[in-house]
Amino acid sequence: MEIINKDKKAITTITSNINLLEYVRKCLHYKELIWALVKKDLKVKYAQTRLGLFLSILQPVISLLIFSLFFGKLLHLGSDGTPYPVFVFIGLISWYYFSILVVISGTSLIESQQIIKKVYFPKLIIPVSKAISALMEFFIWLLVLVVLMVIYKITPSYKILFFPVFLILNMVAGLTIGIWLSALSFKRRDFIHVVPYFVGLTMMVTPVFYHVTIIPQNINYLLYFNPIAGIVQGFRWCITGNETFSLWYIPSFLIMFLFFFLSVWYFKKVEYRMAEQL
Amino acid sequence: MPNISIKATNISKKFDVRKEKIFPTEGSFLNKTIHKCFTAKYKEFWALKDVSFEIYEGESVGIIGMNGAGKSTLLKILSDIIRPTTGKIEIAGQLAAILELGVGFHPELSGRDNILLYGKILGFTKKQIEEKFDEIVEFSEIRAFIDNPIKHYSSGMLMRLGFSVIAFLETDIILLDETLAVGDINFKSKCVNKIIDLKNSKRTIVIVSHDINEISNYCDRMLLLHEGRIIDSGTSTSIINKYQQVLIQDRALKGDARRNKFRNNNMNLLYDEQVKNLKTSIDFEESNLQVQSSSFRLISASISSLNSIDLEQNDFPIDKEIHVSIKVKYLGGKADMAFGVRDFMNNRIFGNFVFMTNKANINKNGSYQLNWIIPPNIFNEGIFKLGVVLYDEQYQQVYTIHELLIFKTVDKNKIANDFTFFTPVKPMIEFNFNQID
Repeated sequence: MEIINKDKKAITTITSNINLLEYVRKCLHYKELIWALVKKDLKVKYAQTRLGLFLSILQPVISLLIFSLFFGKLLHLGSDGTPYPVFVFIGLISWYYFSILVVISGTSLIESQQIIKKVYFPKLIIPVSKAISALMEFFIWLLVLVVLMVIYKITPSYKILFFPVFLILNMVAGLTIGIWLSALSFKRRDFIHVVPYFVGLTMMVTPVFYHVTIIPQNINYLLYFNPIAGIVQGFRWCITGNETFSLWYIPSFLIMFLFFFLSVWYFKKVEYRMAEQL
Repeated sequence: MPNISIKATNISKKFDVRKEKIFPTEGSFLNKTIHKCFTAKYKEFWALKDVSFEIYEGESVGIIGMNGAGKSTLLKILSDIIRPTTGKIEIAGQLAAILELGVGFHPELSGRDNILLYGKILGFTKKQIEEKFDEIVEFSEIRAFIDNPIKHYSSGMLMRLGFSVIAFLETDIILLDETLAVGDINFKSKCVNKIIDLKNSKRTIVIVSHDINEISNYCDRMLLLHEGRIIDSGTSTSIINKYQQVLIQDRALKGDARRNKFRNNNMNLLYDEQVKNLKTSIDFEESNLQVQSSSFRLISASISSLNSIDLEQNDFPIDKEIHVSIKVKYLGGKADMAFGVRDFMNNRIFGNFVFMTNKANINKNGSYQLNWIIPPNIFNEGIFKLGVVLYDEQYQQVYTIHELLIFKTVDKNKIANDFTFFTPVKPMIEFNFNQID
């Protein structure tokens, strides 16, 4: 039964299910909303703060001082040849962006319950917009890194062109877990408390403040299961050029992408149930 | 044949409602565990069952039903917030659903930013919003504060802002929940007019409500939803009667518990409540009430009519005079008092000042009987409240009682499907036929 439609208006069909392609198309239709939400996040974040941007810069600087003091000066952890502060800071930027992404995109849906119940748009937009607004934080940290590199007189090579690749990988890594978390947390709130804790622990198994060489040779390969390790190494490889980037990381990236698509698929599957469960 | 805007085919929606957990308290641990694992934790609840309808372009349709009839579920399915379990809906053109005004407003953002954000949440593009921006601001009456964060706005201003955004952004179809009554009286009437404008401009409107009065102003057609099914559809008048029947049946079925629960939501129940409290006479000295101004003290009041025999004592036929007699003690002076009538929803209907209508002014102190004769054919069938207001000499109110007396009128010559059912007054105004050619 076709519906009569002389004016050729776009027809939306609502049935019990929605396929992935249609869903992605819907998300793209709302791309303006993504930017509006990003803009809102940034404005809200710095509304009513005097120190605003200054605080955002202070945070990485303090982390930098603590890490280079404790691990560099006191524990004498070695680097890849670059001065330890630069070495550790690249690791910190990448890992910090990853972990903040998991937390804010993971909790973003629960925070926007009101909207979810009352108006329709593809909810995937919420965690994605959070990932983009968190980029602001990332760029502020990057600014500190640039200052640091000027101080230590480090000039990047042509490899810096790969920087966006690793940035995207970093974003996908954080979003994958963030989307899973946001979708799962609707059924069981426990995830909100547990997952960020384990994300915090991943710093230990990722060469953020230590160099890969301190891991015994015979279990070195375990690192290749950790895409975050690959991303951190990749950043160092493309920024300072002193690190080597192993192609053995690529399978873990591929698996990560697989999980990313699965997360979108799962998210789509439970999206309509979210409004019911609230 | 007009274009179809929304076509719903056999939609059903199932919810899994969590059951109360009943664990066996006896038996072995194993027995309990097995019981726990195998008994269903959820039971099915069908909020909508096999609902099909078509809504044509330019039509405004009301979906009514009692609480729990499935209205909200249907609205949420139409606005794509939840998906139906089975069935299919086709929607031609862009649809904006307003289940609540100002969803997604952020308190820290300015009015301007919030308009843009809200518009985009509803699925509009920046261009569409900016075209209408000035009209939105104008209508919402907040131009002076447009760049202030909305956390400083009053709740009325927020409502106005929310309503204006949806009223001006042009979609083919608008879905409205019971959001029509917003803001103060002035703004409310502006909203009502705007909705009628939208209706006249041939936009498709779907309004969901349980208050049939409110939406009968806007709707060409109504769908009556009851227990998840559409049991009737048709013009407002025919559905109003059907809805009354449904309400009465439901009340008989479910008894008083439900009545109390939804009393505030439902006019009929409010009405019924007041039938029990009819009061046709009052003696102030007996009830120890000092109702007094500098000129008058009320002694008693009563209301009577030339009742025909077949009617109950408390029923006042609408085609007979109604006599209100009040005994007062006049204490001298020119402090006036007034009597007035409200309907059972407390809407004012009419009233008179005593000194302005009483030709033979009283000038000697003493007791008087004041007669106020309400002519026939003023009231419609219903419940009315007689109130009194005492003034001082400067016409400042000294004492007010809204429910001095409560009485019920009946219309013996009522016809079925009377469209004036809800009007408080029903004067007999004759039509004249003058042949033109």
